[in-house]
Amino acid sequence: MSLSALHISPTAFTPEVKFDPVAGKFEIKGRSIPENAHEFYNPLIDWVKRYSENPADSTSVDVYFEYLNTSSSKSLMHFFNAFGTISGKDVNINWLHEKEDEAMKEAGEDFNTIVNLPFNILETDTI
Amino acid sequence: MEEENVILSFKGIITADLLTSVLHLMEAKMEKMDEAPRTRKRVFSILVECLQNIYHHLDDNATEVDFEAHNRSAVVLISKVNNQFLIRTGNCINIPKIMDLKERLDMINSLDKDGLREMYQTSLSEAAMSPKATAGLGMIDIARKSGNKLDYEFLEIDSKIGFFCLNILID
Repeated sequence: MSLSALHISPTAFTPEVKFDPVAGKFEIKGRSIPENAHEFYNPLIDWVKRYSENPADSTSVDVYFEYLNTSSSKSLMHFFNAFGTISGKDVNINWLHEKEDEAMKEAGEDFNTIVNLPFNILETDTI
Repeated sequence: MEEENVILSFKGIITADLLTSVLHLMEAKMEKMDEAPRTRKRVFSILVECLQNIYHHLDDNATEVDFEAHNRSAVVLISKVNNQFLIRTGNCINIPKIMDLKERLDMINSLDKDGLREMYQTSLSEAAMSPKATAGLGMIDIARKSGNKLDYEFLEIDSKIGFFCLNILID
């Protein structure tokens, strides 16, 4: 059974999510500061695991945070790792941060050090 | 002379709803202040970690014996002292837990910027290995973002309960 596209609207504490399994496009954008991040991210991680069994030819994951708490960072590690099982096909993670947002750039560099996938840190305009 | 302006303070039982209200309130207040977006962001992110740390800590304690309901309250005071933001928090802690926390705080305070980055990255990758591990990421993050040492103190309430005070000065 194939997955259908997923869209979750943003809230004051959780980001907008757009997953398109056919195009292989993943986007998480906005604030991610819930106190129990795994409640929000675990269903997304399960979704990615199912996607990874039958992925598109090329997968790109864009994440762009205004705020990110450590609870979300832990969940993000699991989220990125879920793409790690895709083999023989392109996977790219793009960490976007607002110009001059040093903290978010640093957060991207932390993930770049730990995550074992092609990882790009890119500057962009305001969300 | 030292000048201190209180921006927000509260004392009471910490619930998930209260956390949400305090964060909304603080954000609204800061929007009206004449602060660089960078400073605003930094203060807000540190506050998020502080409050969620206390919330999870008190939540863990609540399941332990001898931790009565009134010990689930906390104090938080956010002020501006001579142009710098200061976040002060205080919460109850079971005496046996103090040693571990003190050790971790001293460890964090002994590190410079690069050391903190390394400790954070190690803790984050460990957290990814075991879903349960918290690895104290919150405190490391607070130290990194504030740019200052974590100023703390433990007070004794009785033989079982202590009080943990944390002062975070934000650069």
